[in-house]
Amino acid sequence: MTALPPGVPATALAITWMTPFTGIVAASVLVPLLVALYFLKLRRRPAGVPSTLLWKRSVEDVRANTPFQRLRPSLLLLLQLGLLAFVAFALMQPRMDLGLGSGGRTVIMVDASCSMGAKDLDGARTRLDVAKEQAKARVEAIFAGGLFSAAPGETMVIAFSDAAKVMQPFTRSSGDLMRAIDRIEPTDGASRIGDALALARAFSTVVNPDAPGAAPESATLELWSDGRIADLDAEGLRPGERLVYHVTGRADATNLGIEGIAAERSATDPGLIQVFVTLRNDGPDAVETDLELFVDGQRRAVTPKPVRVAAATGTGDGGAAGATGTAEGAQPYLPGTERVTFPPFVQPRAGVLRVQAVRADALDADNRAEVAVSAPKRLKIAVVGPVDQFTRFVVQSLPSERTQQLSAEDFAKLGDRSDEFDVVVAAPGALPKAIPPGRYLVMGVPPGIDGLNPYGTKESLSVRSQRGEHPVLRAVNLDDLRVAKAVAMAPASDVEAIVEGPDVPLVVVARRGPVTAVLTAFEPLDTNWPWQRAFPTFIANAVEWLGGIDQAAVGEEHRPGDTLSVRVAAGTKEATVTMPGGARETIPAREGSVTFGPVTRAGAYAFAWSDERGEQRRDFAVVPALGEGRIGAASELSVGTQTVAGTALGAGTLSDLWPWALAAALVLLVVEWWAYHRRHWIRAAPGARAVRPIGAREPLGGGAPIIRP
Amino acid sequence: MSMFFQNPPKAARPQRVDDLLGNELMARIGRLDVVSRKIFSGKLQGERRSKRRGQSVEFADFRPYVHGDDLRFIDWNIFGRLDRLFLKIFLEEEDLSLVIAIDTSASMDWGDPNKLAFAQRLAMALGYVGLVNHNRVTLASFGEAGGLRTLTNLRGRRRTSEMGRWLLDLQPGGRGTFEESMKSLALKRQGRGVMLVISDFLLKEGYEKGLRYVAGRGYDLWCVQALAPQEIDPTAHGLAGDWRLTDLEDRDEAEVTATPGLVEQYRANLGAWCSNLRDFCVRRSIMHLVVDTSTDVDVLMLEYLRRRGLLR
Repeated sequence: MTALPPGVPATALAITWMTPFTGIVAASVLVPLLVALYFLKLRRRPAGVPSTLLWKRSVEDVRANTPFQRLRPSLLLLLQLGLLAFVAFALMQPRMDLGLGSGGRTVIMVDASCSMGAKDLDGARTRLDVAKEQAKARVEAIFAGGLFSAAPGETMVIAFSDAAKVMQPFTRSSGDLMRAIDRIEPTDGASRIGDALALARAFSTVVNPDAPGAAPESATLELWSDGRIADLDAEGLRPGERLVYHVTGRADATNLGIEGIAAERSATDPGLIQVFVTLRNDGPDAVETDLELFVDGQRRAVTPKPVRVAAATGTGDGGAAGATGTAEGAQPYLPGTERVTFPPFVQPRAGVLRVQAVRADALDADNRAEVAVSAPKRLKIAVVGPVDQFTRFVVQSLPSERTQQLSAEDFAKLGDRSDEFDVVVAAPGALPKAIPPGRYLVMGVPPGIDGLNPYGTKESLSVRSQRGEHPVLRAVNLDDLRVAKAVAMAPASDVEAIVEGPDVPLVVVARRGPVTAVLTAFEPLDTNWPWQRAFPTFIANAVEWLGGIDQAAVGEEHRPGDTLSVRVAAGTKEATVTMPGGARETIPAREGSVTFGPVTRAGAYAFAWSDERGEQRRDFAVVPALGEGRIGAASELSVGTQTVAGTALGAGTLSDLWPWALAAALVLLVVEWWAYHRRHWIRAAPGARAVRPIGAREPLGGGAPIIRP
Repeated sequence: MSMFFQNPPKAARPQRVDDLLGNELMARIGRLDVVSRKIFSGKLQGERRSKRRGQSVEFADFRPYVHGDDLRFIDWNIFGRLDRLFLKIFLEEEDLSLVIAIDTSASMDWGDPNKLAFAQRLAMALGYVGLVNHNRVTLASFGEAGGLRTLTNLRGRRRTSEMGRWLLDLQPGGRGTFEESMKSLALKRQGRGVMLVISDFLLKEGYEKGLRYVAGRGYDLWCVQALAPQEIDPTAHGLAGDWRLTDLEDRDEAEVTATPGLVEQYRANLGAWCSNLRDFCVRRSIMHLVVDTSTDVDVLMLEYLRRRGLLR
């Protein structure tokens, strides 16, 4: 046990009873039995006396005067009763709360993020296992006292990683709490506490309607985590809130993991594929490891020599915002990283590529990473309507299986058959009002897409910001773009603006059910864009992204918390998802797509469904969340401006007392044995010694004088 | 601390006459004599003064002659001087009858020192004093199944060994009634004198009726109540804890837990029992003594019995 952290008030020690009724029943049976046996006294020593006359009379007199006279001086009975009391005490399995007393409402928050899967505490159990065990022990402590104490405060359980989940709302049922804690599942997501705090506050803050000005009654937040929480800086404790941080994990734990993985098909030979891996070392020493590459479970390649990853440097906060413990001005924390590229290899089919680090460490989850690649594919592109010549020229020059020019009327006639085209490049006015399912690149604002909310035009615009990480804008520089006239839009929140002008979005990505569209707020002829290198790059990126080629070639990256979605042919009813552990789940198709998630575990997810073209399959790979590789537990947390010291595991839990009770019973047994063999230990009657002097004439209880030697 | 109750010793009773009365004790008590608080008449003109005036050498008084008096005791010298007839009255010296009754019931065969052995020694010593002073000594034992046993009319030092053998032959046991025994003893009375009843007087049927038979019938009666030290203070002799006590006479059982409170109550009851016996005796001019059997017989005789007037 460790000392209480500062700021945690010490409370009176409380004893709880695991099985109180067992002890009570045992005591209620054994103690009367012992007393009865004591009275019955099966083992009385026989002795002859001249007359029992006076003895019987004395017994009657004593009984008449003091009914329990027999019990009073019996050391043996007292010892045996004491022994029984200790045995009954032990049978009740008493436990004592050694600190962090309970009271009021308590929110148990358990971090279930990827780093909590580390087995650094005892090598067998993960941090999450230990945290759950300790949280259950804490529940026992909160409900300590059982029969003889006041009602414990209400308690709730929240598990969180990149999202929070209420496992059990406030209750006074320790059984429900225990089961809720047992239900907490590990994830490979990042550790974000914001949602958990919001949930806890939503459930726990009780405002007294009779005193509007009074501070709301808040709960005690008990957090089991390793302290590597990404968003702790953005949070803060409110007045009345108390955060108890149970440090779960070793501060000196080190880890080597795969932080990123990517695969890309060769532009010239789509059958060739190349895999890129980023290794991250969160230990103070440089480490070496071999990497193995598996394709659909078969080992395909091994690094020719161990990869050396440099040591992490600095001791500061390296991303895990809440983790502190560094001195002011300390060097920022930087993990050691190393990029590894596997040589290109032939993989003409779709498949799941897995890279595994051979070196074992505390955290297994990030020692492997997967990426799903699809088969090389050429697109079928439709150019609908009067698309400007620059755009049409670029599209026609893209490598494709087929590029077909269609009028607006022809396209409208296709109806559901428009699905045969992977990408539709359309003029704004060429699309019908009810846009059929498909993927569209529109150089302008069409009327048939909800959520764009055009409200006028803007003139003389330039680009203020662009999301360079979006695949459509890869290698696209829009600094020199000048827009003479653009449609002003106020897009809905689910419409993603990837290029923004002064007040209006210039390029957006809109997803409306089965329709995905990349839209520009302007027509190319109203800009100087066609004369810039960025224009064909943008068109090519957009067509490839919409057609899914980039996913297949580069390997789409998914992280825990993401939703996996796949387009299926019309008429498909359901798809089966096979998860990393092998479990399967059937997901119904809605509006031409199957959506699964958000996923919590890293690994390969396989979607399988059947349509008129036969059995279809699509693989996804989910890699562990970023930033979870640093598994050294933080000794304290910085929540906003406050610092919360960590409490070692076990604090606030219960300590078993029954071994001590049994030891005491054993001691009493020894004393009782000793006393049994010295039963004359009872003191002599007062007055018995007073008649000893030779020749003394001393009354014997008011009787006649006795002549004594 | 004696552990009598845990390990009671086998009864050690005297086996020889010397065990009853050693030479040293004989020498010390040889000068004693039994004293009666009253002068009793006897059959023989012994060494005892009697209330009955008679033929003796010791002049007591004169009285006027009345018709029918023995003419041999008229003092003719006075008649010569005064011309009146006076009769000379002499004190008649008689022998003293010493009766020693010993309780030999099973309850007496208990204690350390054994109560019966104590009674035998005391009887032997007192009987010896009676014999050497030419008293008529009668020994009786009661309490046995056979009823009253007696050895009557011993006189003279030479009967000492016979008395000793009789005492040695006493066997404890049985449960004779005290009342019947005393009644028999009273009926067998010969002469007058001193009677000692040596018993523990722990009689469930009571001692009153029995003592009434022998009290006030010409005997100077002494009740010697012999109690073993273990009876007087059981705690000091190992009575602690839980016991099943068996009455040696009627095999009655009592289950006791010898707590200090109980033992104190027992002692109070014992004291009350003894006190009642004493009160009973006082009302009937009976001398009562409670004797711890660990008391030496010579100490008892030379100090206590002399002080109380039985011996001189």
